[in-house]
Amino acid sequence: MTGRDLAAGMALIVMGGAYAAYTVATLPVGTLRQMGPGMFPLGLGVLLAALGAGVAAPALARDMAMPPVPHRSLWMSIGTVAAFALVIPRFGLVPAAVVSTVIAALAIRGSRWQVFLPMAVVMVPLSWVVFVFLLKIDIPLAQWRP
Amino acid sequence: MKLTTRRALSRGGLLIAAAAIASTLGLGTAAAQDYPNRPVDIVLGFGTGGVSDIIARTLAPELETALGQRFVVKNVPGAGGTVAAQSVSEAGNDGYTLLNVGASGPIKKTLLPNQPFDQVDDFEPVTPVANFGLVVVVAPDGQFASLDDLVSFGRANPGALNVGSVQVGSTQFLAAKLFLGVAGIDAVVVPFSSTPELMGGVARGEVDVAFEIIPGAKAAIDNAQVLPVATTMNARSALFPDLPTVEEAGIAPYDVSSWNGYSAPIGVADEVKEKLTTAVQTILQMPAVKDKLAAVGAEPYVGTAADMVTRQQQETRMWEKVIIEAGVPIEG
Amino acid sequence: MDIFAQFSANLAIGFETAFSLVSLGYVTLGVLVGIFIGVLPGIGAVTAIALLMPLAFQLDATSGLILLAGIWYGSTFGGSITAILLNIPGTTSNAVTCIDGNAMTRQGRASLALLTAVAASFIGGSIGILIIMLFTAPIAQYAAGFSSVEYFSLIVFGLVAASSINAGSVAKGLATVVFGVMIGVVGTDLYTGRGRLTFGNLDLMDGITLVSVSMGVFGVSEVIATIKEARTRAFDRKGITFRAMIPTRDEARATLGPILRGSGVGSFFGTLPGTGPAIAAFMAYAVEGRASKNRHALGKGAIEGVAAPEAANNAADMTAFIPTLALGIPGSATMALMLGALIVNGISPGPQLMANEPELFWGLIVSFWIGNLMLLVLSIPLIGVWARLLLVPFNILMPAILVFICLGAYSVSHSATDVWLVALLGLLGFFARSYGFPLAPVILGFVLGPMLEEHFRRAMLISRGNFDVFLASPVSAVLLVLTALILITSVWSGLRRARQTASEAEA
Repeated sequence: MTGRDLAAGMALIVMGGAYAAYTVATLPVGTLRQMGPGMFPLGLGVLLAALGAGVAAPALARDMAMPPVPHRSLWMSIGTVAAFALVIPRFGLVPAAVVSTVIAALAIRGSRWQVFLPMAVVMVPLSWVVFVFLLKIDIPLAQWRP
Repeated sequence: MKLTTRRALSRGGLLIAAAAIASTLGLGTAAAQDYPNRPVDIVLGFGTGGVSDIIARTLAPELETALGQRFVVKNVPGAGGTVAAQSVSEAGNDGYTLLNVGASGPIKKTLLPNQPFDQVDDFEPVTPVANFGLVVVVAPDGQFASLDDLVSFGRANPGALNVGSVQVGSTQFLAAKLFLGVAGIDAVVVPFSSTPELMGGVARGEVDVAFEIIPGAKAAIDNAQVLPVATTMNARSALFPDLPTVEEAGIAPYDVSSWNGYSAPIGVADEVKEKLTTAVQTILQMPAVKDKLAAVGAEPYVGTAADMVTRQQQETRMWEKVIIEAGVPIEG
Repeated sequence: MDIFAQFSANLAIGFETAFSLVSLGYVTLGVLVGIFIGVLPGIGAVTAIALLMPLAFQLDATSGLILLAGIWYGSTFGGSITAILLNIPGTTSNAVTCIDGNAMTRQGRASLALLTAVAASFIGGSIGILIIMLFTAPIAQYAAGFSSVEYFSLIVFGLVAASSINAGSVAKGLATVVFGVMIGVVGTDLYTGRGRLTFGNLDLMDGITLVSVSMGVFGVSEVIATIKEARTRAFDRKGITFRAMIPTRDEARATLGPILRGSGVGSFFGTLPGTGPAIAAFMAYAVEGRASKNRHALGKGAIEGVAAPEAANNAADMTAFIPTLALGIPGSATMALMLGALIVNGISPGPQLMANEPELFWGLIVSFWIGNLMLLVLSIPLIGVWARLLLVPFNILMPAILVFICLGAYSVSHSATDVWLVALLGLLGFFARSYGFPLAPVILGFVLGPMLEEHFRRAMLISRGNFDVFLASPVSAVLLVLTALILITSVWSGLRRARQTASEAEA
């Protein structure tokens, strides 16, 4: 018994359940008259799980193929953003733009160093012009705070 | 290694000790005498458009005229002011980087004991800037026309009144809690996410009364959307000389106002503090500046850095008591 | 007759103010910056306006407001360009335009989609301006009468209506809305001051920023999906010629109804505090889903799916000024910034504004129209240039978009947490997309979720825990009944569709 919607519904049930459980574990729920901070999130978690059941139930009757996962582009793109998040607070704009451009280019199958190394060189001044020069955002160009 | 040292030093006592040594040795005084000899940053922990931002942008060009160097207003929002506090803390205590601080500092000391930077303990006042009185407002054609009406109704009908304020833990919210405590009224405090929402709530009668800083409530009062019935300081507000104070209505002791000022990391040379305080206080008395302040609902905060220290200490004690008595949850 | 004389006198004041060289300069600058910001993913109108506030502070109130307003509606149009060409909404107002706009691009009809967006924006904007002029006072009074009870029901109605648009499963649409509300709840609880679902992270105490959500859910997931497709499809140059832009008579006729309906819906939702152009666009799309003759083609590259939301968001951009200018009560962060630009110049906003500052009010109104005209003039000849974005080799565009997304997210508050959230939400968004979930409702839930909770809890606090208040108010009761009807019909038609496909499969 596999299927796209069954898996999606199950994922929603798990997410909703985890959200509700974490809420109950960390926040007071209160009463309807004096609602605690946990009441609304608890309701959301339960509702998401219920909707997950609503997604999964009809899927029991039919078989849908699981969508393929494009591993290379998926993980390289996420890696680009993650690398940026790691580098920028420590080393500044220039290293972050270079590292993330190189990783982003690796996501494309068959892209070659000869293409994306010059790209990285273009992206750095471009990010500087747009964000630092035009929009006046105060980001250090380079620094050393590992 | 460098960073850990700086981190340790930025915490309270050690730095005061270091600064005391430095000033006895006469270090930094030479630099302080020709202060300022390069541009000075005023860092605000929130975005543009708020009342403290407007005031900073009003002061900056006048400070430039008075002291001969550019004063640059920088908005550094993020993590409830922590990003701004961190950047000022790292810039050092030479007086070239100032942090906008205010009434929330003493409150946060109790409400958020684990915050990484603390406006009161990690920084020291350089100059006071402006006072923002609070005003008590009701619906213009509602059942209450004065604070007395409201208090007598509230006392006669426990649990019936709805009192509005902005965010839990704000000066306004605690002012409402303190009022209910001193007046002996049992009422529900209803928080609103923004001042316009709150003023609308009062006008529609969703809440019977609201506590708001004058700069926030001013537009709604001027439009007759809401009716002011009292101000909250121990003396009448210069902006609303006809309004009684809460104490005049018999709810005493009650003296609440919000304010702002500029602080810097601990150890600023006295010459720098005096120079800036004198300049700011002079500018605040200029008619054009006074008018601009009045237009946004603020009044000059007349005083010195030492007055600001005393006020921070007093308010820390006062709000700690209110927070504990009213049972406002503490983030621990 | 008297009213008419008054009206033309006011307009004359407006034209005099707006046609000064200075004002024209600021309109042009605002609109150009707006389009640019709109095209650039990661920076929304609010961020751009916030960043340019210091500049506006140096100007007089009228010029400052004209500039900021130009950025505001210019970015809405600019955002439609990326929505159509790249399936990335440049601003949240364009999220719904992605659906049919990008489908048209994939069918090689990008130019037609862009022209439709331009025309719809202009007509929608013009109608919105007319409505400001005619109905400022009565409409604002109507919206100002709503209390938490009516707001709660209105938001529920909006969320349910918007998430049942998609042709797929109702449960999936509602699940994405609920997910949006779930991430919107993260941060400090308004009612107790406690941090919720922050996992002890201090950056999260302020909540998740809209930029992180829109860039992660839309931007990153789109980049991932597009790379995946880049190997199998080449961009079709044929669709982007100048001639392809000209609609056939049938196409032109097909857009007229949606544009007018969208302008109406947009003008209405623009005036309500807290709704604004994004919701207006969603609602206009929802209305097309029910009212259009061609509704079955919606979601598959229907021209109506571009015309209606683009007319609606531009109309709403305009009418969003009504509560701000008429009552001094901004309905959104952007409008709050506009109000700040007024106050800093010593102008007290409120009902007396129109009387006390006729140059400001009418000058602003006329500048809106000039700005909209300018959008038309700047964009039609330049459509070829915008469309050429598609011809940029993908391995150049893709890293550029990703880096700009990261910088845009980081620039909001210099917080690496915001960038990490982009990565996490991008991952979730990509899986949600490939498992057949509509993504646009996430933003809607995210934006409206905190308001939904605020109004619900306030209504319950004031009613002392009594649910009857939601049915006691006629406006609220009608909205809730409508919501229930939408839910029932959507579920029912979904079930019927499922049964049909099942029986077809068996046959």
